[in-house]
Amino acid sequence: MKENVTDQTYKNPKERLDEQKKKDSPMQILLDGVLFQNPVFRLVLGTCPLLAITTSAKNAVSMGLAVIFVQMGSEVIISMLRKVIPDKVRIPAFITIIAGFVTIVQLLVSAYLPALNDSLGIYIPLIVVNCIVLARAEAFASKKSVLSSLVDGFGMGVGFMVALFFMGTVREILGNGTFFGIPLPFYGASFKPMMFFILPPGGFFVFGICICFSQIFVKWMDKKRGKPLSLPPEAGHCEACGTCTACSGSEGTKV
Amino acid sequence: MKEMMIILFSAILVDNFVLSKFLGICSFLGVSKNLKTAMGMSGAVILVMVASSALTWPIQTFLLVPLHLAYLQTLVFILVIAALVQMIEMVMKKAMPPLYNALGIFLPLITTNCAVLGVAILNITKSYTFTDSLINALGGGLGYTLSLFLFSGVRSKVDKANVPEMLKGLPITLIAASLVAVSFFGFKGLVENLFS
Amino acid sequence: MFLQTILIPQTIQNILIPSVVVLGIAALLGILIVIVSHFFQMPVNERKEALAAALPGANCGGCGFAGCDGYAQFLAEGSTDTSLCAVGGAACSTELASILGVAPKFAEPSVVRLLCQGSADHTKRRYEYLGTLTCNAAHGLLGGPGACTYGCLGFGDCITVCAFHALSVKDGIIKVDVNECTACGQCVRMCPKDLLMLFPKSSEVAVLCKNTWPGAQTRKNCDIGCIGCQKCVKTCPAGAISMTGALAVIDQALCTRCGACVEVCPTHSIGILEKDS
Repeated sequence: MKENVTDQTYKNPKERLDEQKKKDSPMQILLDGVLFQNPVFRLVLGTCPLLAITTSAKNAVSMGLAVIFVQMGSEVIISMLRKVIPDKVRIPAFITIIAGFVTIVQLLVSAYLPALNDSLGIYIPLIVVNCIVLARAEAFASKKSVLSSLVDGFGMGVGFMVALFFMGTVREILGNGTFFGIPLPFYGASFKPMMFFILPPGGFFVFGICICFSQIFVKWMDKKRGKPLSLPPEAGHCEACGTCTACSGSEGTKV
Repeated sequence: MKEMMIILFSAILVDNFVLSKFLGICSFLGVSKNLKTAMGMSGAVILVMVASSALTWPIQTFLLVPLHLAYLQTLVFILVIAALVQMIEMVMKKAMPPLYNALGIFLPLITTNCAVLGVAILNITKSYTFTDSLINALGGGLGYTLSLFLFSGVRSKVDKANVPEMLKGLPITLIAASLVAVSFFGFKGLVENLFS
Repeated sequence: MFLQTILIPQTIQNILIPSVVVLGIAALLGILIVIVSHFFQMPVNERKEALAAALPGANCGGCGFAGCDGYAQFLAEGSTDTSLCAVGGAACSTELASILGVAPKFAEPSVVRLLCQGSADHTKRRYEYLGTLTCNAAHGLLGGPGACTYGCLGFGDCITVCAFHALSVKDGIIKVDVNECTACGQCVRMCPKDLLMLFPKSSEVAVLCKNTWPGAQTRKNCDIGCIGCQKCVKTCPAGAISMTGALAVIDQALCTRCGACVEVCPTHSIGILEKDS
């Protein structure tokens, strides 16, 4: 991907170092994770659980919390072990570490929250192949320090949860007439909720509209900042899940 | 025999893995750009799904459950799938070069495909027998193939149409996917009545 | 459980057995992978690797093989024709020849030219086309929306296959950047009207039209098309121009590049290479 040329024309090396430090500051990483490089709406990763879980806001928040835990834990451990793991076996090693955390989540949920276990179902073990976790582990945690990885894990997890919550709310309000299980007052016998949004096609549809809004937001930010909100090459990773997202998710894989 | 047909057809049509169960969406959106890549990817997915189901079911039934280690399911399954994909790639490269040229590049992408791990876990949660698991995996792969073919055809038309500026790219692709998913709704109730 | 007969405390058993099982499975898989990789080793053909490294790696298919690897395989298997890579050109041919230890062969450098000048200023549309915006699709509908059915439609099917960004749309027809064009030939295959043709770089004069209609009909639909007046045929000192129906065609082998036909053509449908690049 061609890097934005304007980003590289600096006045002196000190300015370039300052810019790099700013990029790596915890606040910037956090903001990237939640807003500017939101894993769902910008990097288009983690779409499988997104479409399946967002039938209600409660499911969405629970899944988000589980992913935050797995993401933070796995990024920290991988970052601590990044100098030790040989390059040839790095993907199986990452998967093993992530699977460990997912098993912890599985056991906790099945023991203490059996109702949640039923509603999330198969998607809890599927966190291990969630594109976000593996892609960030490969692209970020294996290269940066432990503190940065911790903040990035938290940021990406929160970004994922925010996206899930947003979509879950929309789908639940429009499709079920409730919010967190509480029935809403303006639905009644004469105005029924639209079941389409709870069903699988509704998931695709709402996600498409959300991506549309995210693209509008990016264009508005580009106009305000003057320079494009480009994604760095380490944003998404083609090998992790086959979707080349370094171009704001609007194109598919270059296979 | 009747149960096997029910499992097969419900995996392909009614409970389509991509459009109903949302397994394998990441690669679905990425690979459906043109028909050739769609063919390669679906071939690879069918192969890996059946092979991994054939391996993971015995491991669960004869190793993990008797030793009370069912909680290690996620970890062991994903390790087995990753190793299996690597071995299939090596064998194909040497023994079946034309097949490798057709679908070899998609094999590394399938390791982290939710659909493969998903079908392995579903076989266990639904308590299928060994043959039922294989049929389910085959049906899942064929369902993936069907939806991928349909969607790549739709997508190649959508890409050439005059789409409003803010919907260009991924939004209109997803809305098209939603309509394809609606079309599969017509199959509800088909399977039970067809074979009874 | 057989282990319960041995005097190991329960808690240690609970940690020991899963660890052993998982490590055992991982070790077994690792050993299996090593065994499989040993038996299914691909012999590395070093000469083919060196040849593939010398090729540009554009995978355009112009050599006639499936990508640069295909051509490298062909050369490694014994061929000595190093001239097939149009993208790499003479430099690549020399390098390939030095790896193989044979004398290099050179193909004549070529570029692609569009045999049509019917841009928006010269011709018009005869109907409003609302279908799929590709040349191949539009050509299927009665030859496309152009007034002259031989003319370039400008929807850019050729542009989508050009790996070197040598083609672009200007004023409704295709413009070739002769500096970028590597004559790989992919665009020639894509054009439904066969308007793109490879010419040797040394050929500077060509009739940029394919319309064989009688002059009056051509004139009505496009003011820069060949009307078949045969003035060029009579003017050519080398006798290089002949007629196909009402269309003049220049034989590049006989043409002396004198440019006499260009001066005399009333519709300016004969063009010179450096002028229209």
